[in-house]
Amino acid sequence: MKSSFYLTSKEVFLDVVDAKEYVQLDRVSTLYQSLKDSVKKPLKMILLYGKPGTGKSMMLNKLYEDLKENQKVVMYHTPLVDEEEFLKSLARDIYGIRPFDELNFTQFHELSEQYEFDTTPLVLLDEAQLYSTALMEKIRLISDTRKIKFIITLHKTEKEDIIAKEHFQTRIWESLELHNANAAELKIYVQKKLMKNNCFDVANMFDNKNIKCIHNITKGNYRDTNKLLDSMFSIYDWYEENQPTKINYSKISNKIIEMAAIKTGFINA
Amino acid sequence: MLNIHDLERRWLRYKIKSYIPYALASIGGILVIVALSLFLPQSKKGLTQDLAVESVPKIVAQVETKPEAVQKEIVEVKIEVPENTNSQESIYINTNEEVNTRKKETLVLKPSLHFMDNIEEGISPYVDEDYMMQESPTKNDTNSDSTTQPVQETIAVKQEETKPKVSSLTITRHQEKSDLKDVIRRFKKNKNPALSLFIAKRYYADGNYQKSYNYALMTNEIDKKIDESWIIFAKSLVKLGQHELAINTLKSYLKDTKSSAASVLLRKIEGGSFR
Repeated sequence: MKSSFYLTSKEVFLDVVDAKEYVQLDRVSTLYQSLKDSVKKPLKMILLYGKPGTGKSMMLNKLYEDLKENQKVVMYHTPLVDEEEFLKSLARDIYGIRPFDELNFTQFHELSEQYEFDTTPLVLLDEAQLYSTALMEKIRLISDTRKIKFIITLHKTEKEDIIAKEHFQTRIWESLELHNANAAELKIYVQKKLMKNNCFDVANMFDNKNIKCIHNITKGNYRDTNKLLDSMFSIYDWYEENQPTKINYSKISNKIIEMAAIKTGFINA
Repeated sequence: MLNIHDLERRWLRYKIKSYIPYALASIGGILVIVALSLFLPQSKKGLTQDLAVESVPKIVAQVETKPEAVQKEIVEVKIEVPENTNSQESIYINTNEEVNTRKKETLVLKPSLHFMDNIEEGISPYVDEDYMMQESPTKNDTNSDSTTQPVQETIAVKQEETKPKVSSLTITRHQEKSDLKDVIRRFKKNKNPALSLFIAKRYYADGNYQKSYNYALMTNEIDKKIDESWIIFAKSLVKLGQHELAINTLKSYLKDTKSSAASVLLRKIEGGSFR
């Protein structure tokens, strides 16, 4: 069924953070290995930063999936803005204790002193730039006790650089930066993602010109690429249903890619 | 809900927009190429013309005039000589038919100046000697380009003001009668046989055989070895009806010389082909 053919491909590029969809690329793989090695070191904090859509959350998620079997790992995808809620969440997820009616920083510190782990518990904080300055200060103090190790991800902006400098400069022993993909990496990313979902025919429909076109539009940003390809397969699906003679089943058309870019707003037309 | 038709329209608009810079650049490029193709040949042509003018040490403009027209016109020829030569001069030949000469790209000047070789010595008091010393090569070139046609004018040479690099010489042709009088006056002063021969030839050409006879006779008295003078003398006698005298004169002349021209003329007179 050709219709499902394009729809299946469309679903591949839904913007969800799923470790199963993690695509190993050479450069990303090297970074991931560095991150895993850093976790084994006696570091208080590890900073993972980069522009939005460069795969920070995906890498963090992948790390969580890889480590959770062997050590205590807690991951917070969405920021816990309230301090008490944050401390209660830590107490529940790390120590398995239902929080008291009230839990302040001193009480949490006393609680953490009562527990010992073979491997220091690891807390993964995504979108750390959304945490308040006061809460970031508490996180710093917790990391200083060496009872909990933190890996935080930040968008690389001027503001976030300040946060990194002010709160973590002396504590972060490892910082890793993620980048957008180049054209070659993007081709592997797209094809691997499709092949993981058994869309081999569609994966073979992409040639270098298509990838170059996609790269020009998205600048190699994974999130933007997902968004663009999701839109592109929607258009293909429409043509398949309504005007099948207008599409070429052996190759991807740059026209459709550009139409998808117009639809998603990457191209202002 | 996808609005594909609207999306296609927007895509088409986007593609047209994206091609506009390339189209403009292409049009601009084509215009530049066309402009260059039009401009460069002209500039090259101009350059080669300039180079040609600078490199040619001879007369670059030659004016061809018919004998009838020559009598009424003043011709100016400009001669430009390369800077590395010492005699950098320009000769201007002014002409009344300026419009006609401008229209001709290459004008062939064919004045019958060959007689200047013969009267060069006689000219010396009339023309600045220093100038003639410098001018003689150019003048020879002028003569070499010219053809021998019956010309009925005299030439007055004026040296224009000498400039540091380029000087000019103006050759002005006056009307025939005043020129001939000028030559007769000069002949009376220096008794140069070249001048008398020239006068004899001119009178003969004009049909004044009596005067041509007289001046040829005077030439023979001054110098008995001038071949042309004897021929004009004999021809004038024939024209005056003195066939026998002409034949005898040529025969006596041929005893002393082996002039082929004289013997040819003698045969023609005897055969009756020259009357």
